[in-house]
Amino acid sequence: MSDDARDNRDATVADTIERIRAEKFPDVDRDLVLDVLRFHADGVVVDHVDRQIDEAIAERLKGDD
Amino acid sequence: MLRIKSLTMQNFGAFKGEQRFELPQDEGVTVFYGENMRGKTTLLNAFRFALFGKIIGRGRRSVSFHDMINWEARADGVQSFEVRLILSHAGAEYRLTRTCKPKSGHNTPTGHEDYVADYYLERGGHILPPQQAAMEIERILPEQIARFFLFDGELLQEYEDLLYSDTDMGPKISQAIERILGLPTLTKSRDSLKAALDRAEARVALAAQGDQKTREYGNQLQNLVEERTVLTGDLFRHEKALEDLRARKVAIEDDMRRKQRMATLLEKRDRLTDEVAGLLTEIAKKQEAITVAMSPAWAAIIVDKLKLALTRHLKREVELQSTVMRAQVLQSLSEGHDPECPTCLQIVSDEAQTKIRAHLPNADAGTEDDRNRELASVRRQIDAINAQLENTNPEVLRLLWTDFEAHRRSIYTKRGEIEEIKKKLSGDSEGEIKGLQREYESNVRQTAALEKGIAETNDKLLENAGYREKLQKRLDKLAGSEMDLERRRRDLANTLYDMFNESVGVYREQLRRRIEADASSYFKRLTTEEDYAGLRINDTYGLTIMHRDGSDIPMRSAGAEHVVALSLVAALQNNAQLRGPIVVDSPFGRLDGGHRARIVETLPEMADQVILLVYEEELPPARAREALKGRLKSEWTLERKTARHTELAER
Repeated sequence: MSDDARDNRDATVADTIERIRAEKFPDVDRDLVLDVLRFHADGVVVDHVDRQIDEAIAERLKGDD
Repeated sequence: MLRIKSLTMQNFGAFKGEQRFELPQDEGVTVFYGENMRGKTTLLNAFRFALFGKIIGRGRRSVSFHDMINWEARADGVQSFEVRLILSHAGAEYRLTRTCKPKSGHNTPTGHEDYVADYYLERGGHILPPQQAAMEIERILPEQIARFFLFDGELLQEYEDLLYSDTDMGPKISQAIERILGLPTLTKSRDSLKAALDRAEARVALAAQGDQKTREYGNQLQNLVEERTVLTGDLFRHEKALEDLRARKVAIEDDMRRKQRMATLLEKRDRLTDEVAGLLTEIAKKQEAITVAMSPAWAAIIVDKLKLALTRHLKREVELQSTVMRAQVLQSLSEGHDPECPTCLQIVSDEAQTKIRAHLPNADAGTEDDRNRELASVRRQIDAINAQLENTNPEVLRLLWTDFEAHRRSIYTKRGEIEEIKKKLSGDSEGEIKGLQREYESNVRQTAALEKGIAETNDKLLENAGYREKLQKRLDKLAGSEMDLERRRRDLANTLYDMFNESVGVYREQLRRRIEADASSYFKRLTTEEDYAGLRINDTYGLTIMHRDGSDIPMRSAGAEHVVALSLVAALQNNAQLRGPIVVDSPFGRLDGGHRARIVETLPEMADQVILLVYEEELPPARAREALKGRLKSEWTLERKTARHTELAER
């Protein structure tokens, strides 16, 4: 296993994905990532999660325009 | 945080009538003291039954519901048992009641199949509908990981089996562990983004079809998208079917284990039946031989007389033979046929011949013939008597009878055993067992076929993805601005999917490192071996002990397995989004005093609520109080009333 894994073993899900976003996918909007995570949080039942994600993506693209 | 508030049992196992205990709600340890066969494991099974409707015995065998009704109560006519668990989770109070009773129409149940277990779950005083109740229990404490919270020292083998990836349950348990560690949020996000990417690609194909320049590529892409949808649908169905088959296989194996005793009885019955058939054939042969031996057997009565007669005849034969021979020799000498005497080999003179002739008896041919006839007759009689004596051997007959009787006794005994076995076999045991074996074999064949089909579908999906990627690139070169939005949507979905996909792998590794570190930390506190540096984790959360020189300790004793399993439980408790109590039956097993002391000291830190099921020699109360001090919250005794009646008493 990598040393990164050892060094970051205590990181939360949100911390982990934010680290990867910042290092490798800096152009991806941070809030969009958090939205996606929120739609799939444990114990959360989101109606029409597919549509929610499509709308979140479309919203970000509109913002870019 | 999951907390147990109380447990109530009604005629469950050794616990007759209603037996109840409440747990303190503050953090600490509750100890139940009970000698062997008083019901400690039954108490652990009460939790399992309440939560999952299952009762596990030694060797991971499922226990029949029929056998779980308190024996004394059953003798009084009771045909059911019940367990009620009150617990709190995430601010809500739950009351879970599970009852086992005879199926409708089964007025005199005799086996597990005659019973049905049903349950209802209340949350905040309201009964939940069945589907919601099932989801709620799954959410509170998934069955696959319950074994890390309802911990039986006697079932350690399960821990090893479950965490090897080549067993059917291994991957399921790994998933369950990852679930309580929070990974599903990421994996579900990743899967949703994959679906979003697929939809975005489909829109790109649609947009491409609307433009003459890109129509052809658009059509091809659309076909590939449709093909992918079909393949993905097939894959999903096949994987679901495979999961169902694997779950069914585990259930069949459970059933077969439970019916193992019946299978053994059937095998014994068949073997005994073959042996009886063999013995019957032998008996027929013996009877034939006895019949043959019986016909001359009458002569055994006169065998002594026959021997006397034989002796007389032999003597007479010798006499007659001598007489005949003497007469022949003298006759030959008197007639001068032979010039030499056969005895002294001297020439016989004429004078001697005359003297011989004078001494020869006046016998005529008739006398000589009489002698010869008598000699022949005596010889015939001798032969006849010898033949009779040969055929008349009482010893042979005696041996034949002995064998015959032995075979008959053996047949009687074996038939008795077969009847006993038939009484023990219930219902259509043979049919059921053969049915299970057929179903198991069919399951294995179907699983192999599905796995092959899934592999082929995955190959096709990969091929499809390759073609789509090429087409997308060509489209991107040709496409105009009207496709721009769809392409950007696709690209963003793709980037998000890649990011979450990578995050799943990274987070999984981090989790393993975290569990490894925590488990190692607990292990070093629990073990007394100074040369052990800690634990190393594998891909399926199995743990290997590491020597301080960096090498692995490949083989583990049962005691070491105990300590490793406890370390994993503690690490999971530490890191789980789901936190709950630990119920530990016989936590010390084969551990020595040093390890026991360390476990007692460390247990309160493993979970907020710890329930220990022990006997007093295992953990003397004074030692428990001294080691746990203020963390020991309550003590109970499993009191013997009779051999089949235990009651709970708070100390």
